[in-house]
Amino acid sequence: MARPRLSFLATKPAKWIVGLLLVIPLLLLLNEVLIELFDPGARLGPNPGDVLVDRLGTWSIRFLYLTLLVSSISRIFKIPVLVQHRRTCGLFAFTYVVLHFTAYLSAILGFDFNTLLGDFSKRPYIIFGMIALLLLIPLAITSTRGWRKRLKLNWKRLHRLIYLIAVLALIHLWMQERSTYTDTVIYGSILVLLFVERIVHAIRQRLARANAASAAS
Amino acid sequence: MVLIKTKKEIPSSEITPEAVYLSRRKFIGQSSAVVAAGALAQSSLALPESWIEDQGYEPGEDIDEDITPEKHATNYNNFFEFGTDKKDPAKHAHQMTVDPWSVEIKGLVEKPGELPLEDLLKDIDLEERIYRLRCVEAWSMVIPWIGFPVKTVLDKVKPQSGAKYVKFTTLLRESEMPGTKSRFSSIEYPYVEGLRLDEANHPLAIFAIGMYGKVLPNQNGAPFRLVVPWKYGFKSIKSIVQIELTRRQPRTTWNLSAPHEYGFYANVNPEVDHPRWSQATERRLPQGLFARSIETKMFNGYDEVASLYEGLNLKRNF
Repeated sequence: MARPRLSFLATKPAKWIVGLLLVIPLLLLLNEVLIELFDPGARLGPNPGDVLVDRLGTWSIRFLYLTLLVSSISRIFKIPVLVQHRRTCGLFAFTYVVLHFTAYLSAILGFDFNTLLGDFSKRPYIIFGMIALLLLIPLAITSTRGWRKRLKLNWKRLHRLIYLIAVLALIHLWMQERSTYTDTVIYGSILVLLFVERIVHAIRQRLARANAASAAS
Repeated sequence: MVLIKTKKEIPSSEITPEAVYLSRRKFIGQSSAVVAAGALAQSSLALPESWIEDQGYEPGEDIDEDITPEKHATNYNNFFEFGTDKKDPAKHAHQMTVDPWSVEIKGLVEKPGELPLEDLLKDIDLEERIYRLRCVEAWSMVIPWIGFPVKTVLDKVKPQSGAKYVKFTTLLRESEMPGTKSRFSSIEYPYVEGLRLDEANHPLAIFAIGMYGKVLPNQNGAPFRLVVPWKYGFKSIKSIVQIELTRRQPRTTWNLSAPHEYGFYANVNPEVDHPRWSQATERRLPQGLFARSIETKMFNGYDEVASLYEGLNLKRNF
């Protein structure tokens, strides 16, 4: 079925609009940080470092899962062009994760690399977060069209790492929750749904292939 | 002292403005103008804001550290009954009814009973204590509390010889405490904390009813809370409705929730890390975005309590 209106999604302006939308949380946060620098305690409270790291972390997991959601939506609603925006989402997720880590390193640790090494070796939630960050680096680098062509089938294999990263991010979140697991339940449920959609899709594809094979024989 | 269970004849809200009720007796003998002023100072507080000022208190000994601005001490709180965000208590704690308030004294004591707060405060000399408050989350504040030693209350209710621990319980009223309704909560309410009897009797351990020269705001544990400055903040239980003297160590809330993270003693100790973060340093609030943290001191700098723990392995008994 032709969907003429959706073709707009494949255009350059559409990419710009998506990019602008995704940068909004970052701009809002930047605004808070700037106000904070001139008027301490005004926007982020008495413990701004904690708040900043926390907010960047929240946006990181949101964008990470949004990236996975883009593929699901494009399949469920049969809008293949949507996948073109997945890369933008993924790169924003990577940006938020890097900023999340930078804020932790600067505002929490005060660039004390000894504490960082101590944290990295002793604290499981930091280890999970760091592994997720490190695994995102090759994905960000190879996100270009050129790399995609060069890696061929391996590109898909490599980018399946996103599933491991999504799980690591959830563990990273879960291990920091105290007193209530509300956030873990929310993000965990979203991740489960994303996985279920993929499993259902894979089963359908296999069935379709089997049908095609039996029809051909 | 009245230790029998007393019932208020007429709800205070019907005749006496709430705020005046608790301090009624304290105002006798003072000019009616003061009473009127108190009556006008309506708020969600059990005691009128000016009550402590009128009552008078011995000013606290100044310490060589800056007092945390009041707006931060009253807007950055952990009181999970009202939500887990630091701003939640300031947003929601006004829903808590703190007048009338009574404290049940039970367990191994000579004088058990339900004690209305005004009876508990009768004949008590208030004093200010400027204490560092070190949260287990590696931040700290300096707060001028107004209260009296825990010992003065314990002496009145007379612990029996078998009593070894004091168990404190916070109010649990789900209709007024949105944070207690979470379905995915890993902690059980009511909130319970405890001290060894000798810890509770230490002169540094106080019950607070005020801070910054005024009665406690609800989010800071109104109308009556514990302050134990050499322990992590979660030991300083808020809005206490029950005090029980026990033979055995009470099961305390955070210790039950995560025993490997929160010990019964919870003495401030820079050498024993929380499993998820170092306790060697702390952020003294308010702290600028890129300001340096300060070093955490053993017993939060209150070395005079060290003798309580002689012979005790503080690494194991964290």
